[in-house]
Amino acid sequence: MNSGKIDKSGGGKGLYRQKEKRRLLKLEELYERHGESLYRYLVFRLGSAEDAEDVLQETFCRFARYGLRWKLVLDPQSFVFKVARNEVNRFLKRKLGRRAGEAMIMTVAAGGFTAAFTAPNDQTLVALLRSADDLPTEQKEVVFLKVFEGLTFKEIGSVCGVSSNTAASRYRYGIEKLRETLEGRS
Amino acid sequence: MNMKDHDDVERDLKRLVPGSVPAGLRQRILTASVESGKNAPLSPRMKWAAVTCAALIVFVLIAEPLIGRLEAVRMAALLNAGSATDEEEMARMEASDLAELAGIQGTEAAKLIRLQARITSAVREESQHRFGEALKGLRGWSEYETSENFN
Repeated sequence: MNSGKIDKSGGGKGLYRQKEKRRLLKLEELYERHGESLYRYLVFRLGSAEDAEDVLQETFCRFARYGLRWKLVLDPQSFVFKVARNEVNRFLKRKLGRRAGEAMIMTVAAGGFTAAFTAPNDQTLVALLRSADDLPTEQKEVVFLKVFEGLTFKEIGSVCGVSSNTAASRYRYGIEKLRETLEGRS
Repeated sequence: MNMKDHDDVERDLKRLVPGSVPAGLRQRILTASVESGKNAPLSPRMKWAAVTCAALIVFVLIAEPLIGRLEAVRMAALLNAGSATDEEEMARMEASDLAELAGIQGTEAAKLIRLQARITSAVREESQHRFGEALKGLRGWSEYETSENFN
């Protein structure tokens, strides 16, 4: 029999489920767009697939907890990379202690191109990979973000906390060194 | 000699093969983040709002009695301009001086002093009454009065 009362608990649950569904959809969309690039970047920074997975999870948990309005984020791509970068720094400080963590952040000692990429059977590419890993830390990061993630210098500057001019010059120096290495070989 | 430019280097770099993403990573990440979102009591923005509101409430709770007390003191000072006991004491002293000058003594002098004190008290009550009436008259004046337009 219909008592004429509104089932508030059922309605509330329905609303809650809708909200959950919306949240999941947003996170799924975010993962589709940036998940794998972020994972590659994290492997590049940390040098370990397990650590990268942990940090990626923590990054996405942060997005979920903050309940961001993505419409208000001007540049979502550089934003997600910036959040991931900050999360890497937190992770290293937590894992290694403050001092060792900061030293690791400065050198990206554990990570690098060899951790994130493999060279097909081509001696030139093997040499390129090795010399890319020998680049100074700041140049390495800029080259990675520019070549593999397609970020603009402005976006790279925003991610790394430097000006776009600094990012551009770091990129030029890095690529120039790699070019010299390749020319030396040929 | 084979000369390479920056574009060639970029092209070669792009030929490097990225490591594979572990199977099931997407599902693990999404499940964990949805769980984390469910357990989050407040978003940081809401946390700031809550802290600000709490601080405001505490401020109001502390400030309200203080302001009330100050207001009460001010009102008391307004209503009892010159305390009643001081005025009556002064009147008594004046009356006793007068009695001495006039050579009045004993019960007559006591009567004169009482009379003088009563007169002073009556005058004070009258002025308080007038002040009260004036306040009543002023109540709500701002609601009905329109400001003068000088133009």
